[in-house]
Amino acid sequence: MSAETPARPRREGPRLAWLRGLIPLALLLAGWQLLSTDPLRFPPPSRWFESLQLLMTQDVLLPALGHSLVTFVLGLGIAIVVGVSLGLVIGSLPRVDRAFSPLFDFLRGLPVPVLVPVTILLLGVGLGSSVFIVAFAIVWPILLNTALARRTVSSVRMDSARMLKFGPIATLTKIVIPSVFPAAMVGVRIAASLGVITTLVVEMISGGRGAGFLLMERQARFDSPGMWGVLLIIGVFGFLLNLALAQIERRVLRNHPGSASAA
Amino acid sequence: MTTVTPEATAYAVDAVGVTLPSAAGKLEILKDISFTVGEGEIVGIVGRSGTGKTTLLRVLSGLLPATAGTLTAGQKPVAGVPDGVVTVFQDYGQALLPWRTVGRNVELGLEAAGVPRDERRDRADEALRMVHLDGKRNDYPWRLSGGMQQRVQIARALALEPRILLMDEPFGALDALTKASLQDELLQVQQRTGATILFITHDIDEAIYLSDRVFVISGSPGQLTFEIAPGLARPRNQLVTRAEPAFLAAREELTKALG
Amino acid sequence: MSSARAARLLHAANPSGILVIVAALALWQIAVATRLLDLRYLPAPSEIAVEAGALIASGKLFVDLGHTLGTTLAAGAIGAGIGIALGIVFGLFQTFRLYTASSIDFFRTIPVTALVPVAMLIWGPSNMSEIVVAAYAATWPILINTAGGVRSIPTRLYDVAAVLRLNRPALLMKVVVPAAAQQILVGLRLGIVTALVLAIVAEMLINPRGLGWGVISAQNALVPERLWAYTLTIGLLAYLLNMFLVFLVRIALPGSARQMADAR
Repeated sequence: MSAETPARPRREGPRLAWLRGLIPLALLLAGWQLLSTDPLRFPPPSRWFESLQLLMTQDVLLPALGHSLVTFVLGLGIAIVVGVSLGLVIGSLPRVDRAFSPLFDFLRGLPVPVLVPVTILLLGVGLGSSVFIVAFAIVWPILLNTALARRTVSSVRMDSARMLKFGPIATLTKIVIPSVFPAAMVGVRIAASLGVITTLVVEMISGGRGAGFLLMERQARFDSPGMWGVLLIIGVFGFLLNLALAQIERRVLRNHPGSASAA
Repeated sequence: MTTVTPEATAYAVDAVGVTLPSAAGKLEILKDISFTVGEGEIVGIVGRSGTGKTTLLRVLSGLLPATAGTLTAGQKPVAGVPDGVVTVFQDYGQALLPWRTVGRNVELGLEAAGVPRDERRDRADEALRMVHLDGKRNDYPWRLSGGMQQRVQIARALALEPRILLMDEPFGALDALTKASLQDELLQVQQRTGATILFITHDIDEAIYLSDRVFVISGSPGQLTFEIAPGLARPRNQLVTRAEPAFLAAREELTKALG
Repeated sequence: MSSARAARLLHAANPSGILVIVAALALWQIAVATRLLDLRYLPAPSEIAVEAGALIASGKLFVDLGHTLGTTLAAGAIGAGIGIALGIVFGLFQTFRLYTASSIDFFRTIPVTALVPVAMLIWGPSNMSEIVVAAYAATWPILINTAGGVRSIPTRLYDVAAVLRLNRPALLMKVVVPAAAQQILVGLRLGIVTALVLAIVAEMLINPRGLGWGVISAQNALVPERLWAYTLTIGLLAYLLNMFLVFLVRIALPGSARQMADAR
């Protein structure tokens, strides 16, 4: 039988297993290095690092990465603030929730790239419009997850709050927020992954500065080792971010069994 | 042990043992199991939870290889699922394919055997008739009661005309009344087809009612510690047979053997 | 129609939801018409509608729509072929999983949009670049969901397949694929929606065709009504495509599989 039989548990250290899965990637890079046949389109990885080093000394690489990071962090921060607060409001007013959900469905389904030209037309190119687009695009998982969690806060808990004579602020901070926290956390994780992609897309389409723009620019200048190098950095960043978020989520959710998640 | 003439042996089990890897190293689940079962016999296997009865059935069905001893089914050594042996499981909900109708579920084994479509339909209909579900061929399993679903699984096995039918607590998930009617249905089926039946059950009364012989597996590792042939008259009857002195005596002995 | 049934239908149509959208459009129209919102590049909905009408009448909108939608569906089909096959392998074989999981995670988290310039480098400004990128993007959700569906098959079904003596192809076609079907379909929906986004990005950046290119050329020509018209068309396309796919998934599964899925 090809499927594993349940009576055979595997005892592997989790750290080792993780690394083992990277073998295909390592093989790909090694093979690429050795067999490079098309130096214009597929330069060997060693040359990527040369180009990246050059970009670094030209003081191009780090500012670009920094710009992207700032855009991403600001966009995510705004999305968290708006998403959680709006989510709490909407979650506590079911009729408002229902009334706004078709509009929200439409807005959150808007593909991110099409937001860029319209926003630039209205707000111009710059950090402001980039941050706005990122925040607008990624607020939805946080908002919807928070709203859903708020909607499903058990009435027993709310009754306990009333019984203990909590005022509205105490109810909010001691009961509501801790209850919605796990679902909101899941939403933040989804939003963060989305945020990396969105930041990239915005920079690629709108020009300006940042890693996305740098990627396009390297390709336009036929600096393909530089392009692949920047791509590698972006890939590694996304991968590490995902891992970090997964760890945070696991640790945070350990004390919150059975948390709900939407979107 | 009752002797059976070699040509009519369904199973010959000799010093079979099973050891499996586990979290704490190797675990011996079954040890030194030996018995023979004649064709057409009904054998019930009882024992406390965790004594390895299901493991024994999986070995007999070819799903799990024995790690010690030898095992033949119909004179041939068992390696993989033997010819003419079909197993029926306790969890009918998981064992039936929910996206197929009753009829197509019953035909599944026949499809695998490459039986042509018309013959498949006839054999499936015949099997459903044997378990009194002829009108249900186009229903989906989730529409049926638990008892009916189990009958569908049995029909699926019967459609293959097995020489040996293995059953793992077939009626364990059913209520008492359904259980009783299915027990009688099983006896009728066995009479018509002459199949050999080995089944696991927690219910001592059920074991005595249905079987020619009852085996007790106990201990850790599980061993065949006790065997009894109650010698009850056939055809069985739920009320009469269960009141026979031989029945009560067998129940007493088995209860003692189970400890 | 009984009044109770009428009330239920009315409720399902979500009148307050429609009201909110209509109100938002009306507010927009009024704000621009009364010069309350007087941004140079913010036209009123009525002006956008006029421009959209012109695009439809000239047929251009449909040509562009056809290109984008066609590319999306083709990319979805390619992604399905690769994603389902690989997903089944990934789901069934633990050894394969152990030796590839982290690599797949790495490739999966590379933002696909970052590969658009790569495609440009390799295939130039062509339909090929667009389809490759969109298909690549579609493959991942399909692969992940297929693997997930396969892994969640009840182990009992493998026992059943063994005792009924199904050979390997029969096991796959008669048990594994139908059991994983619902989650495979979810993956397909996500894959197609993702393919749409990437097709648009490609059209905006490297392949001058389709709705994405319509947005960019309107931007370059400084015709804001057209820009908004194309933007809203894309939004509508995304919304309707998603709804349609949800509907297809719902009717594609026979009632029994839905039941099994609900039970799970």
